[in-house]
Amino acid sequence: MENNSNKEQWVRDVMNSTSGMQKASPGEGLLANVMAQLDNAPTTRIIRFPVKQWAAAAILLLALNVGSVIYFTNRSSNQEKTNTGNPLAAEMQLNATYNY
Amino acid sequence: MAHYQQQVFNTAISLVQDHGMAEDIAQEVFITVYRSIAGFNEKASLSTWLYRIAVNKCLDHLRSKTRQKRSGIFTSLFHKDTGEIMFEPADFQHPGIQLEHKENARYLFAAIQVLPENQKTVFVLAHIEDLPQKEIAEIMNISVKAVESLLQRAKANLRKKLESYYDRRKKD
Repeated sequence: MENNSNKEQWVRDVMNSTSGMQKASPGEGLLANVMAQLDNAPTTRIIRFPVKQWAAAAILLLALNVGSVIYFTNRSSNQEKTNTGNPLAAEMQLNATYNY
Repeated sequence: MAHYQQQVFNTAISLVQDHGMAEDIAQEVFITVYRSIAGFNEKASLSTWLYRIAVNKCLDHLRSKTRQKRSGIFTSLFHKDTGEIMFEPADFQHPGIQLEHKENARYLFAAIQVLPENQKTVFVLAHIEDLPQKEIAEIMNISVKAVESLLQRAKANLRKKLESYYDRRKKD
């Protein structure tokens, strides 16, 4: 019986041992350490995507592609015409000569 | 600033129970705050936000310490299955404890150390940081009811651990 009451008292004392406690403070160098770490942190360079240059390059490429498609389409249709116009040329496997 | 330093450090040292680790965590917290202050939601108070970051960092450190312990680097002071105190408690002394309570507080902190994460956090915030349950709920992102229930379970578990330690000490 007495043992139980001693136990309860001890548990109560332990549970209440934080009463009146103060807050712990860090060492004085905490803020200085934080600032030093921030200063030493590697800086990240933000590389902006050159939108205008890329757009100009894309338009130029597109124009070149379209131009070459038109050019070669015309060329093959001319060749076809030549070939149809002269069956012998086809037989002789002659290609039309273009004056570049 | 000094107030916030104390708030973060006191929470950290109570949760991780290691002065050096608490200093490291406090530094990490302020670096995180400095880098992400732009994303700070002004609806929450700065203090709540700081507590949230500090608690998360402490739990991360404790988890990694547990992983190390599992791999056999540290020897547990507690029984692996029952969580009961096997040896005299670790020599952690919270610097803010009053002199006459120092001995008893060692047992309390040893028992706090083996509580489940959530119960430990709630107990430290309620009894060491003296925060109201509403603020604890905001920090932990849970309901006030859940805080209340966790706190009750934490106290019950602490009592159970201390009682069983007392009985075993009497037997020895």
